[in-house]
Amino acid sequence: MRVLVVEDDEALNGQIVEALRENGYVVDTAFDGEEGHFLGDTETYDAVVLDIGLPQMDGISVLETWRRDGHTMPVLILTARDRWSDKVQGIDAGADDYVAKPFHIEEVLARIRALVRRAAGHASNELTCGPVRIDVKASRVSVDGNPVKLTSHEYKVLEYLMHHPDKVISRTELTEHLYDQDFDRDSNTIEVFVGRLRKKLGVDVIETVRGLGYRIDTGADDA
Amino acid sequence: MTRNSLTLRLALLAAAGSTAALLLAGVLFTSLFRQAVERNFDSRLEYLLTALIGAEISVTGVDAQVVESLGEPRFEIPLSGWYWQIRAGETGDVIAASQSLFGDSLPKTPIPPADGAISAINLIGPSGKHLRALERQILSGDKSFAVLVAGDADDLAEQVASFGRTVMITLTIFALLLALGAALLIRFGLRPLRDVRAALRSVRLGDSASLEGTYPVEIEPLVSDLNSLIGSNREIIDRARTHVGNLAHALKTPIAVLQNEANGTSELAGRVREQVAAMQHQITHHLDRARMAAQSKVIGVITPVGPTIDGLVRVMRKVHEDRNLTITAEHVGDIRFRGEKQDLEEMFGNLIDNACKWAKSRIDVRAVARGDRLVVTIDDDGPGLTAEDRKAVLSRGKRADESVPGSGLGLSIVDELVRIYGGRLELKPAKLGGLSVQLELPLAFDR
Repeated sequence: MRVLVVEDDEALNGQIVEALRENGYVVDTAFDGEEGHFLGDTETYDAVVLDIGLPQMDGISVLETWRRDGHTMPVLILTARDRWSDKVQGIDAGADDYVAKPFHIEEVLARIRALVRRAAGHASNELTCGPVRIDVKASRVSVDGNPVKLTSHEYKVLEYLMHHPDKVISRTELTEHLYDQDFDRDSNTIEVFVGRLRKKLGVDVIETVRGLGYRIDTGADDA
Repeated sequence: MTRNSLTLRLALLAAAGSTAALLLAGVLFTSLFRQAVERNFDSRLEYLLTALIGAEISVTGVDAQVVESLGEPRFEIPLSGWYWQIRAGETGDVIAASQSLFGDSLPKTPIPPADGAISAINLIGPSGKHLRALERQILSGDKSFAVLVAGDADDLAEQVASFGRTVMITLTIFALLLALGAALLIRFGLRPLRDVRAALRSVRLGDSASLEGTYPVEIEPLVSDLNSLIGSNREIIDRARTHVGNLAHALKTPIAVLQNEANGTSELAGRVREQVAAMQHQITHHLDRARMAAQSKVIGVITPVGPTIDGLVRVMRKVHEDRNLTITAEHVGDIRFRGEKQDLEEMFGNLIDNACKWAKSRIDVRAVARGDRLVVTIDDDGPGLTAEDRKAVLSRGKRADESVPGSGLGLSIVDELVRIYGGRLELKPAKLGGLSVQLELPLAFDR
């Protein structure tokens, strides 16, 4: 999962980024509105953490511009607790949730998880596909109830695919969502991760759609 | 019209002034008229006296031809009130008298002096009439006579009284016209003051930011002073609010950093966490208070209730999208709150947020105008609170359950804001099963 953090306070930005990385997210970061807007406009993210009070271009304008240009990624805004008008403005501009400052990092993590889940149409922290079950909160994977150990990269590939069941995900899309902007996108590491994943899971849930990408098949629309 | 009214004051002054002027005029006219009429009467008597004196008078009588030529027929009519009489100078006996006396005589008066001066006398005549008479002593040969001519003074009084009545009617009509004029004058003259009042009201209702329009030079300074007062009041409050907001923002980010930095298990981390929490609590509390105190008595601040509720409900629906909450918002017509938007949002926001945190599936928000109060109820179908908890939950920072995130300041801040606005906050069990919060606040309306 790839997340953009736009927050002008370096210390707070650093903390959010660190916490997200520790929890397996790929994070890009921006310290002002213009840079944040540019990244959100040109890169693909699964979620954005956006401060309202930003230099150069405020968070509300950044968000409005994104939404006007058709970007639909979930956005979590950071507001001051007593500023309800910021929250109303933020939601009206297209935000999906808010966290009031000062906050515990865990709260931001929980909201990001919920937003990603909601965007994928899941109601709980647990995603299942046949015998495969992952708990996105604890980053745990099990097959038929037996825990499976995955590296963080393998986990990210599986999580992304399971968040979008029955949908063909191209290698490019996977790369975009799993690596930050400096990653070498021509490499075929994705194929390697998928191969290892299949081996570790031991069940065939990841289907290769030739020339297009991969698909997690839940069998829901086979009928 | 109250006692301390400019209109009443002007009306009373105008009434007193014109009444005095008109009374004075009435008295003056009547007295001038009386003088003129009396002068006229006296000259008529004098003429008659002179004519009578021109007659040949002897102890036996007077030349009848002269008497006839006096040209005063009322001397012939019995008891007409018009008489003449000639008395002998020495004895005072009546020698001759007009037919109108009808054999009667006038009351005896002293003989006038011998120097020929005319004396004026008021008499009561035979039929009880008031008479005005002129009498003069003349010498004819070696004899002296007193010649008197009298006329009906009641006639005179009647003329004066009739004139007085006419004057009174005329002056009364005049007074009515004056009163009408004064009323128009007051109405027109005080119009700028009424305009100022209307302009102030529209400022108070929040329809305009300052007193608009042009005013006469006499009250223009007042209007411009009022405008600068309103402006500076607003500016001071805006500045205070901006400072407070900036301070809050400036402190909140470092606090968030400290809080997240101190998440280890060491004693230091624990101490820092504890102190950071205390700092956060204090900052929130005091900044809220400062902000509220600065805003509670601002003139002309009106916030529409409907859009505020709708905005907050939109936020809640979005934020709790995946919980399938049904949030209804009902508000009828143009309800307006007499106070700051930020305060209204703070109250509603905290309450609706609380309701959403606890609700199982439904939250009903309802705002109505009841008399001069805005009544807002927020019901949820959550677990609700016991009577004890309902009481305790309003005390500062206390939370009934620590398991749902929040600073715990929400309700006590709402309670404090409600009190500053002179409103009321009540917690009851809701029909939906959970908690029902009822807020009563001042409504903005035309006064």
